[in-house]
Amino acid sequence: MRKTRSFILLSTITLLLLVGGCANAPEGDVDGRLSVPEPSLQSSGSSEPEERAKESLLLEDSATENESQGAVPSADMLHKKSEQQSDDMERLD
Amino acid sequence: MTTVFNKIHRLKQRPGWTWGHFLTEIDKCSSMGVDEKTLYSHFREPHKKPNSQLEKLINQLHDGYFPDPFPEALNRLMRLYNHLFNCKKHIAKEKDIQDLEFFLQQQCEREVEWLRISRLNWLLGNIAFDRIPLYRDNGMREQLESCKQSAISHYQKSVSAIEFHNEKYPQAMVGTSHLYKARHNILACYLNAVPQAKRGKDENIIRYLKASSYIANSKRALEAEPFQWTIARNGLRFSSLLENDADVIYFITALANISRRFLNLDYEPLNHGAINEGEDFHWAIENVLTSDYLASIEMDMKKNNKGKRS
Repeated sequence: MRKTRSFILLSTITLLLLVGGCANAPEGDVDGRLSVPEPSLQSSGSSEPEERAKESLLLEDSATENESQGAVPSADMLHKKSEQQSDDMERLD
Repeated sequence: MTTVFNKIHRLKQRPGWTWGHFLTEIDKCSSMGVDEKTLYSHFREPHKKPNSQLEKLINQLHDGYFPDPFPEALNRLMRLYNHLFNCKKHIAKEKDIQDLEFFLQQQCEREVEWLRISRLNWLLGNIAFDRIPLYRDNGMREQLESCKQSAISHYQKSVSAIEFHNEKYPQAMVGTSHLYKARHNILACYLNAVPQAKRGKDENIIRYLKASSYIANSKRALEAEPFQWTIARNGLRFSSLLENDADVIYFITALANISRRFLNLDYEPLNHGAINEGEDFHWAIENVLTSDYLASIEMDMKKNNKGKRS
């Protein structure tokens, strides 16, 4: 009886470990092979998302720089930066 | 200004408009109707946001009894611009607004009919008006001054065109409420162009306030339509900026007569912040609207109500 219980417990634990392991494993393709990321064409080796992040940081920096130098930001950019003050008078139509 | 609250009050003021008659008129517009409780609560509570069905019904009724004097095509163009301005996802919004502005300027130059000239200038004024917070918040003084002057000039032209129309067609006069609105917009240009913390000491605002008789005009508008809480609220704001205690008392009493909820300075009516939160009301709160004074107004009102009942 004890042996049977121990066997059931061990089987359950093994099954749970297997399921957990599969969920964390990288996804394979239809044939069951694991998809490996394509090697970068650039020699620097940095990945695309990282490059994008750097690019956007550069854009933000340059925008701030333009403003501090007195360059006129586009009106659409201003629209994003300005929110109506809580107690501005509303216009009437 | 013309919220559902105001429209219900304006309709209710018509002779013979009991609640029963009001509901019958609504039933004529739609088979869905509105129940008396809902209608009455929107009549009493300035903070209540109507659902789209009620809003549509009240607008329909109101437009039938108080038709807008301006050409419908230009009113629709104004609505279109409002949607464009408020759309947060529109790409290149400012470019499209500039194109619309160019078209309106061309139309304005060719126009000969006074009410069309008035409405075109009003819309051009709105476009310039809406740019004021952008330039103010980004510290762009030249652009701010330019768009402020442009907005004021267009609203002035709009007022003049209405006055010419009224002289020429006394049988089809445009009501004083429209003139009040255009003049209100001019004052709003002066006020919004200044950061909140500096408004109380801004000479341009104070000078225009005194020259335009804004407070006297607000009192006159309230006498005609005592339910206009936005007029009373703005009256209170400018009385506070002018540090005039008698006018502060006048406008807080007007607000309390509309709804006693206004005696709670944390009360937020529809689409507006609480008086307690507005820097412009600071002087009034510090010097007149003390909790004791507000409590005394409430007591007086209760006594008066009891007196009326007995």
